[in-house]
Amino acid sequence: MAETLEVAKTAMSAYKECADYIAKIENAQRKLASIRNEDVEIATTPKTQVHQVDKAVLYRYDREDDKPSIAPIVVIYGLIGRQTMIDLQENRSLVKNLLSNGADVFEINWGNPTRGDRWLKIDDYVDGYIDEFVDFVRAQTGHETVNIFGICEGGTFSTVYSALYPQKVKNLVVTITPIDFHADQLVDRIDHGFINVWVRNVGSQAIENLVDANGCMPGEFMSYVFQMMTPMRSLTKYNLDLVEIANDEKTLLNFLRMEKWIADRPDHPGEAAKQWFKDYYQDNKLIKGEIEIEGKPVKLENITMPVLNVFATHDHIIPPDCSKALGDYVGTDDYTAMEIGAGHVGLFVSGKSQKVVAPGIFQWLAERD
Amino acid sequence: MDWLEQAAKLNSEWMAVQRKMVESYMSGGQPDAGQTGAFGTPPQNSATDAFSQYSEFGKKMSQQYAQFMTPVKQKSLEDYIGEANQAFQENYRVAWDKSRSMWSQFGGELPSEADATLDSMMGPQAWWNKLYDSSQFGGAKMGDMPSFAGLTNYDKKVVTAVDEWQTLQKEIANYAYVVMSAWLEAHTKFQAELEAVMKSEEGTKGWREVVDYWQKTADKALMEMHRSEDFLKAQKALIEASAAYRMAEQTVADETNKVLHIPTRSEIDDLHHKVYELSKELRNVKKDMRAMKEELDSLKKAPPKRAPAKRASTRRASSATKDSK
Repeated sequence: MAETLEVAKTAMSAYKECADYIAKIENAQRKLASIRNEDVEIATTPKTQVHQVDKAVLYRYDREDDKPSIAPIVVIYGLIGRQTMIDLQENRSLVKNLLSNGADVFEINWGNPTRGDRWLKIDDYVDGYIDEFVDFVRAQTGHETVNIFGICEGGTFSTVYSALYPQKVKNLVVTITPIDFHADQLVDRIDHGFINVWVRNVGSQAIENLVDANGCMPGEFMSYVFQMMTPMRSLTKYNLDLVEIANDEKTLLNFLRMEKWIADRPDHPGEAAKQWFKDYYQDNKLIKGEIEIEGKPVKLENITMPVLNVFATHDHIIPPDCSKALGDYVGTDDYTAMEIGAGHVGLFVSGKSQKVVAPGIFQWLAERD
Repeated sequence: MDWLEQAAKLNSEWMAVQRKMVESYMSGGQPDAGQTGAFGTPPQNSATDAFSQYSEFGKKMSQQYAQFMTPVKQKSLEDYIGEANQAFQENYRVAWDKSRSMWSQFGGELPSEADATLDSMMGPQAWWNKLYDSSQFGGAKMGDMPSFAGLTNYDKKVVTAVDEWQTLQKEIANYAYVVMSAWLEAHTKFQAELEAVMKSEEGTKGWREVVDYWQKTADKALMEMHRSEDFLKAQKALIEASAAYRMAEQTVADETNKVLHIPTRSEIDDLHHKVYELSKELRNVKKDMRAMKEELDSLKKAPPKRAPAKRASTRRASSATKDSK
């Protein structure tokens, strides 16, 4: 009898948990039904398009006064993902933080490359678009040199650019940027560096074929790769996490903003993708001094301006050791490493990092202005 | 018995089975002896057995699927199609017989002519053989045949695409098998550890704790698998097969477009390449002009230099003298 009672109690408790969860699902459904796509706004800080070359657009963030406190900052994002990450929401915006300190911020948006852009190379991005935008900013603001601010793949582009055109770069700031693409092997961690492992494994011919077959590296393919890096999180973020947070409208909107950003994943132009995965990831040519842009060798020791390298301790996409390596190769004496206890995206959007990253970067720049 | 009554009865039976399963799961009790479900004997005891049964079922399914899809390259295409044909027919025959027996339950026995007609329309023998009969599929060999100038190349391209599609299916199956193995490993580990926790005095604090633990266990197993040699091999093969199929598919599409007077993908790619080169040339010209303008501006800004022509020529002369020594 006692045993039966115990079983009944357990069953009742399980049913109650089940009922509670169903109530949460219903609540989440109601909440989601009341939210429209336009309610989930990202990248709202006002900005103006000031220049365009092909699909690449240069924006300048609007400022109330016209006396910036430091030399202009040109933000360069990569071709995987979208630069809107730095302005995800009003109270978690790197851009807004920089502007409030008096910075003059320019930002490049690479647009939506299609198969028609399959022939674009990293050479075109670095020596073509970035150089033209930098010249434009120099001419527009009257500064001989500008601050270059690179993020992820854009950080690598920025590094390459600074090595080629040191005379145009006042300071180089790179964040979550891969430099030594084989440094993931330095530590034995199972939860990071999957892109490094997988790209090395597939070999160069598979990369060639994959790009030739699709004309680009499809954004959906990269999304799938990212999902595979955190397998269970990808499988449970809607049916568990979303249900749990739906009660809190603020948290729910944060979640949806992040989803909106993740969903906006453009295709990576084909030839540039081949270079990125073969020359950089597979052959690690950047630190070997074997990268050439339009026939010009890229020597990291030419980076003689001050360098700030910001990387994330828990970055599972760009392992910290891949970023840290920059310090060993640049030619400057003014090199600063800033390690943030966050993840790849958390470095920009987590509540904690808002107080550290943007103010830290601004202060570092201001000290060298 | 009309079909509504039949459906109601089926529904009621299904509900009864579900209820029994939940009760059995909740109480950890034994289901009726000899009870069998669609996939064999149901769980004998509580959640642990449910996982065990599920694992076994999943494993068998994935093994069979992989086996079914694998031998494309090892065996001849005809053998492969023959085996697939036989397996499909056997499976379909069971379903077909069941549907006919159900039909006879609520529609009465069919007249023999109707039965034969239905058989010829719906029976697997009737259409499956015609669709994939190996003798009619002899074109598959064309993929390996030398090309003949007098014959169309189109068929060969189609067959190559079919061949690549089959290879892709095989690699998908291999990949699924590797991934499935990791899931099964995670299940096995999870069920063993969960059993230990449940037997301990502390027990579990609720379903969420169990789910969190499952997530942690599965995450680790999947990440380890993502670095394993088997996975890396399967992933590489899958990417190669997928690219090869896409390219073969494009070849067929290009060929078709040509016939229909539609620009082909390759032609458009060439056109894009030309536009790319022209744009680049234009960008470079603009870049050179920017550089020249910048140089000119800096020259304009710079204070006028004195040009001591004599001294310069003296220095050149002296340096030339030095060099010649």
